Amino acid sequence: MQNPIEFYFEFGSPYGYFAAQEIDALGAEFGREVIWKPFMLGPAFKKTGAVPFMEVPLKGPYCVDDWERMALYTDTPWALPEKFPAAILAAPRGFYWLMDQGKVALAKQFAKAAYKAYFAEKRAMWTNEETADVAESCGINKDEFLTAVQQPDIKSRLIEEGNAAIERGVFGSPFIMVDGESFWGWDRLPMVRHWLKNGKWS
Amino acid sequence: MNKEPIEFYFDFSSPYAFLTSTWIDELAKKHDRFVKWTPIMLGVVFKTTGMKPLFHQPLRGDYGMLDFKRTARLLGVQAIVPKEFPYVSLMVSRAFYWLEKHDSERAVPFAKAVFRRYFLAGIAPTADVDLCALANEVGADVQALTAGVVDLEVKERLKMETQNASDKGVFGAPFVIVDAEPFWGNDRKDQIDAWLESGGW
Repeated sequence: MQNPIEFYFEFGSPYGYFAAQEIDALGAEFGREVIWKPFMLGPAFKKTGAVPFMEVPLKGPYCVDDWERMALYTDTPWALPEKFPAAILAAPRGFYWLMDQGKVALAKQFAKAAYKAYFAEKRAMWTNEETADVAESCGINKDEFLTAVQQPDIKSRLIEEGNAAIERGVFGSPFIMVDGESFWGWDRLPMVRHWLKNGKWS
Repeated sequence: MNKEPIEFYFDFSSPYAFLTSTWIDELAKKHDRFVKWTPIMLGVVFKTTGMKPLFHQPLRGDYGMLDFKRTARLLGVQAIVPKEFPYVSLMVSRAFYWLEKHDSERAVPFAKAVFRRYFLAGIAPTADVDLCALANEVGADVQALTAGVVDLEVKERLKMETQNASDKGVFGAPFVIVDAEPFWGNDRKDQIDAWLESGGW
């Protein structure tokens, strides 16, 4: 059995959203399992001193245009959210709640729906209520979801996942690890593919 | 066909700009276009944006060095991260603009030689001896170039090009503008190629 691909992402990250459209197909092409690992980028940014795109002069407007261009380039639905950036907390918490019940496929399905709701449908994914509606559309019990994402143990679970990610050198979203090799950014997917196909190059 | 040049903005001390410098002319040629090489002082632009060099950021720095060398290998280039990093590329940038005006055919070969000297040999070209060596390498007039880099005119030119780039939204290096469409980063080669091919989407 080959090593899985680890896919680190933040639910409020546009480039993470674009990578999420392609990563499972990439894994399947090379017979690799893809493990999705949401985390909160805020603590990682504190560690590196990085500043969110939108706050950086010149770079902010470039990125807004870049996302629209990428959406067309990759044929992915896209709409800049009403509130961006925003703290998207219920989605990653709900994701780990599902994972802890062994519902891996459902967790991924929910993650994709949550991403789409925020980055294509302008839904208020910074609220628990709206996120629970998205969960419900995936066949998840809404009340159970709402209760779960407010539990202290699920909240600390997400914090621990984030700390563990930083420990491994993860500082951005998307961040992909394959056989101990790290790749940062949506635009590195072709390089990940090259790696999966040929292994390390010298 | 549109014959406007492809604008290639870079700082001579930017690792990823070096990588782009190894393929940009060839890509342009494939689409029957030419490249306008435009060195700028990225440090001045960073003051506007508050950004810092990638290699100087915690976590990102280690990743960047690994990634730079890995990406270079993929392009068939054995690049190194020089000990002195970054360096102030003022002299070589001014020399580029002097050549562009007085010996234009040698400006781009000079730029490529500057990149090679730093990212392959590990020598930051900041001293007069470096300038002499680079001038000799591309067959430029050593004395005229040495005198030229202190011209008020080239000093002003570099400032103007840096300001002009910033006004156009350039915030990093490499930064490539194709028919007013901006692309940031060496890893956008495929998109630049597709944009040149299709005229945009």
